[in-house]
Amino acid sequence: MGEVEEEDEEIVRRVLAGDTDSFSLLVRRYESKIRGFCANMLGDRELAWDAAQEIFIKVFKKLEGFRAEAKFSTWLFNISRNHCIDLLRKKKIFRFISFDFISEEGLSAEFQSGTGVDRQLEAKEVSKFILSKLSPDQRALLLLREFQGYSNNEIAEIVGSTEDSVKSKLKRIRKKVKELGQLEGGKDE
Amino acid sequence: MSNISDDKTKITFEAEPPASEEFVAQVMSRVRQEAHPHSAWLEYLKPQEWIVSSLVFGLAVVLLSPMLTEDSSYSVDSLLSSQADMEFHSLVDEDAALESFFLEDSFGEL
Repeated sequence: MGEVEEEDEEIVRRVLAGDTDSFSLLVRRYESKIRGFCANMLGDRELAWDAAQEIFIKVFKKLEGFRAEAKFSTWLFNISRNHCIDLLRKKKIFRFISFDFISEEGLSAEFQSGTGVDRQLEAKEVSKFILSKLSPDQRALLLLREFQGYSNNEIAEIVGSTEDSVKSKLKRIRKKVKELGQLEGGKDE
Repeated sequence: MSNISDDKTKITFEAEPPASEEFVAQVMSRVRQEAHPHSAWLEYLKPQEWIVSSLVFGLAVVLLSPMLTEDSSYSVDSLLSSQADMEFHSLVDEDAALESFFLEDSFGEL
């Protein structure tokens, strides 16, 4: 208790000095976040597991190229974002549980009358539907902002853009999300 | 699962999964292979297996060493001398062939 957590950058220095096992500290520290990010990006937990592994291997291989002036977590999310976008573009993956209940007109009457568990499933499904309608780039931006809680400035650093650009992109994304959310908008009121 | 509200629209993200030691172990196994690609198999040997392997190797060296010593007698010198022998024999054969030719020839004349 009361132990000061070692800085990521210090661990990186140790790994680069030959202490390969110290890399496990970084994996432990970020694996949940990265798997969660990948699951939301790819829409599938199993794919997310494999993707997250590939990301950590990539990070290890590229560790020598890590610039100490950047935060390790920022760099890690940059690699994660790029990896997921590559996967989505190459394989066109994004899995859904089932979207039978969604039609062009909106949710089916049967589904709207659902209770408790159905409602939870519904929220999850509709969210997945909305995420699937965003481009990989848009999805990554929304996740970094809303799921990971990064500031616009940090996102700009992760994606290699400016803060203003990120801000305006997020504005457009939110508008799109709101439009897609019209499907479920009416029934909550 | 985390809910993010944006005015009226709710997005429900997939929650961060719980920490997994299995995941960490799988990643680290691959990381060690990347770090030492040629010696990764050594990690699979237990200490007692190391001892047995070393003993077998040592025994093999002891058993094979006399053969290796004998082989070493076939040095450059021995190769040269055997080559010289061959040349000598071929010269002798050549002389003998010429001699018999002349003999045959002379007998032919007779």
